[in-house]
Amino acid sequence: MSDFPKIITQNFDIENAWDINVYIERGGYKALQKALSMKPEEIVEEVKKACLRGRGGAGFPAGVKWGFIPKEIKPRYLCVNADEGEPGTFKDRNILEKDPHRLIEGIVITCYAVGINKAFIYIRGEWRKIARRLERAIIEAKEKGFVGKNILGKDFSLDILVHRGAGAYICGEETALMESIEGKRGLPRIKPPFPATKGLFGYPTVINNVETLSNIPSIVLNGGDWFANIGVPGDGGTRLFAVSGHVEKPGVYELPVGTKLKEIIFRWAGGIKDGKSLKAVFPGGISAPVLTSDEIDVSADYNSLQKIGSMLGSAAIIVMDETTSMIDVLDRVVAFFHHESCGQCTPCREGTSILKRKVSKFMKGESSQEDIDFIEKTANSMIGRCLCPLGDACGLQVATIIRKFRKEFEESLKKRV
Amino acid sequence: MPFLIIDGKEIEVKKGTTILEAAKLAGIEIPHFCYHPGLKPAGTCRMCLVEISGNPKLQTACTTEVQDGMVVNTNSPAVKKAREEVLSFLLYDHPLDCPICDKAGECLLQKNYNEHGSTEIPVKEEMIRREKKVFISERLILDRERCVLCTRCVRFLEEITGTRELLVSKRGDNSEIDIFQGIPVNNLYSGNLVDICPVGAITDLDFRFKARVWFLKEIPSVCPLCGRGCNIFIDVKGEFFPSLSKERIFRIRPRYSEINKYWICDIGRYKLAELDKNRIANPILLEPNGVREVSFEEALMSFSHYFKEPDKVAILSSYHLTNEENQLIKMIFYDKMGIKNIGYTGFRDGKGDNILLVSDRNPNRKGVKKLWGDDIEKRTQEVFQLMRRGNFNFLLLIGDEILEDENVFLSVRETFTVWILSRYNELYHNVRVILPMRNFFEKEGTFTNIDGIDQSFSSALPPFKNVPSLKDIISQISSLSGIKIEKELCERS
Repeated sequence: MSDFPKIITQNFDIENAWDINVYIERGGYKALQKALSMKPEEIVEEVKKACLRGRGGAGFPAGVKWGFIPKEIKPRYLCVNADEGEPGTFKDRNILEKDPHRLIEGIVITCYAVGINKAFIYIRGEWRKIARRLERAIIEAKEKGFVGKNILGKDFSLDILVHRGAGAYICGEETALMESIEGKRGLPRIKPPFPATKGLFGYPTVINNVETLSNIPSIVLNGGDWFANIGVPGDGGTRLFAVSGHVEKPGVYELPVGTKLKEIIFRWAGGIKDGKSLKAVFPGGISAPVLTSDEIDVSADYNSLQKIGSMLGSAAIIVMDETTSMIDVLDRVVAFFHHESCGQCTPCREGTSILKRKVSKFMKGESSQEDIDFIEKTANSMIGRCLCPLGDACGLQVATIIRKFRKEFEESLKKRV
Repeated sequence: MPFLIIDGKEIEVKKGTTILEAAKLAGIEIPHFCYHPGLKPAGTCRMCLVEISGNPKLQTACTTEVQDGMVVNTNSPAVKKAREEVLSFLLYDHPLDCPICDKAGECLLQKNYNEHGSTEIPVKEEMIRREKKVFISERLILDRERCVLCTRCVRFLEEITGTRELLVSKRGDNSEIDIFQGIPVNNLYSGNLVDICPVGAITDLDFRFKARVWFLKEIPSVCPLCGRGCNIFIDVKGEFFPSLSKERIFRIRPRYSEINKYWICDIGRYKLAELDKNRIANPILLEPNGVREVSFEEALMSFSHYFKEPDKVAILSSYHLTNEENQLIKMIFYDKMGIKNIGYTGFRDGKGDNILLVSDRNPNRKGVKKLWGDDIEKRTQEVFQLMRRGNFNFLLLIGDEILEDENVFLSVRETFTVWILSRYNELYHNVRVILPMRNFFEKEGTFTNIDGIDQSFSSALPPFKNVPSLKDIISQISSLSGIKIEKELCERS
């Protein structure tokens, strides 16, 4: 069906791939053995070469991030962000469910490369079963000597701890996640200092997404150049595109970075459901500004989507057909951000609150033209003013929806009269 | 030392200085809510956003440390717009009850709105209403409608007192300041929460609805209630005070100094005004057949003859007197009149802490020791021993505070005792003559604090019913006793 390699999903169709024996049978933990025979710096170099950009949403190159860890300070920590909360995103849960050892192997290699002896996996609170499976996988790996003291006889030890969240979207933000692990309210910290210098418990911390780390074993086995060649220049490898909404075949598709958005929706996901036509797409979860149907002939990589005013984010593609009311969409978007705003900074706390009230008024049919303008103005007031990306994303999304679908809002006013 | 340019002004500051502080040094004020110079920056109110050349996003001036060669613009169109919009957010649900808000006139929201706000009026839905009267301690009241969630109060209780009684509970626009686990704020520094609240969200029963701040006059002073010598403002009636209120002192507030930083303790804040209660207006003779108010002359005549025998006279004075008053006592009573039995005492020690309050509850023990020598305490004990043996015919007590030392009253019934003090207390009827004097608020002078730092203060209030100063009383005593003091000598001290 395809001429590109499967990296993350290679074991997805294998029965019981989550069992360590099955994973090892399929070549698992070979990368770890190879990595432990390499110098840590060599691994970092390979990952840099691979142009592996963070899969969580911000897209920061992983190797570069690792390189920021100051050499002289110990301890250091690894935080694995498994708090997949972006609406529309369901890729990490597939990895954790179907191939947890790929993540664990990635974690061990990363920790070896950066000199870390303790890793925390911050897992979404709702995933009770998955957390149990992950914990079981860690125990299995420990029994085989891949995790724990003196891994594979080497002078390198690592503890992995699974920490379950309590359901706040904001805890997927890296610094809020650390606060949460520390036992505090999940409030984003102000940056700088960045986690690389002052992270978990005040120590240098690497924080990576589940998918990012699951790529590491293949990079170590096949080399950075191999990985970089799969994607587009500066953005290597494949992505797990989680396609949902009005498509014939929703699901997770592993495709090279840079596959056209149009191709993902119409070729891989089978096109729009019931032969309807496409209206709008969120190309990277609810935080990625909406695209209209004539904007989807775009390469799905960080830079290309940024150029057209959106973002790839966590590569969660939410597809909406012609029957979708953008007013309903706006209502959902605003309800989500209003519910998840931590309330720490003024623009996000007050902005989401005002937007919620204004949109509810619109939903009740009590709005006027002035209100549409005010919603747009309020959204624009949030952009670039917030402490963390949540508020900025909300502002940008709302402002984009109004800008691109203003006509629909205005017509809805007319209908009511 | 990083060198940077703020609004065209070149300035060199210490490494680690934030943009907001560097701007302050350059004379540029950056508006803020959550920043407080005595607390760690939070960066949450977003009022202090500034433009840094080369950075596409505005940055918070309170958290961003300066870097060499930085070019900062605090006045660009983008910055102005950001300020306007942050203010519009904060004001959207603000109750605007300034006419009945104690903070009006010294409110940061008012100030920032005046200077940076937009006059555009938003189309408003119904406001979110919140509780307006939540007791967070015995005397502090939280108004959640006025609150801008700057968390200064939460951070103060975390960073300064470490007692952590307050927290932000709930999330998003439901966020609110609350007491932790239902236990109210209870520490000796709680009053500072009112000062640091940038708006009128935390008000004080002690001051609530008592006065509009612009009708008050602030007098810089030094707190006399412990050896620390915290710098304070005493807020008294200003020139155009409109109400008939009989209060003379409205508020005690901290005044920044290296000694106390931005804080004072609740003892200084709430107990100080009590020194102005139960005042004595006229001299009193307490005779076996009755108590009567008399003139100063008559009162003085009743005991002036005792000074002819200085060996039979003892004086017990207070650690609350100023250095100037003590010098006069030494010069007149000790040097000129030859009274050698002079002792000092004062308030009993209390509990100190490692924030500001020290166990010595007297403001000037150090000054007394500097003047009389370190052995003044030993000498005082010797005076007490002589008193117990009945060595004296006459005892002169100076100061209200000495009432806490029971030694002082061991022989007052047998000895003719005169007490110069400012207010009635439970022991005053034990003596024979009462002479009223001015209290702390009505005098000026210098205290030497526990670390040996001299601090001067001026009088905050006019004398109550024209009672004389201690200096006047001493000079009258001396002249009646036939000792002439050169006028300039008296004035010099």
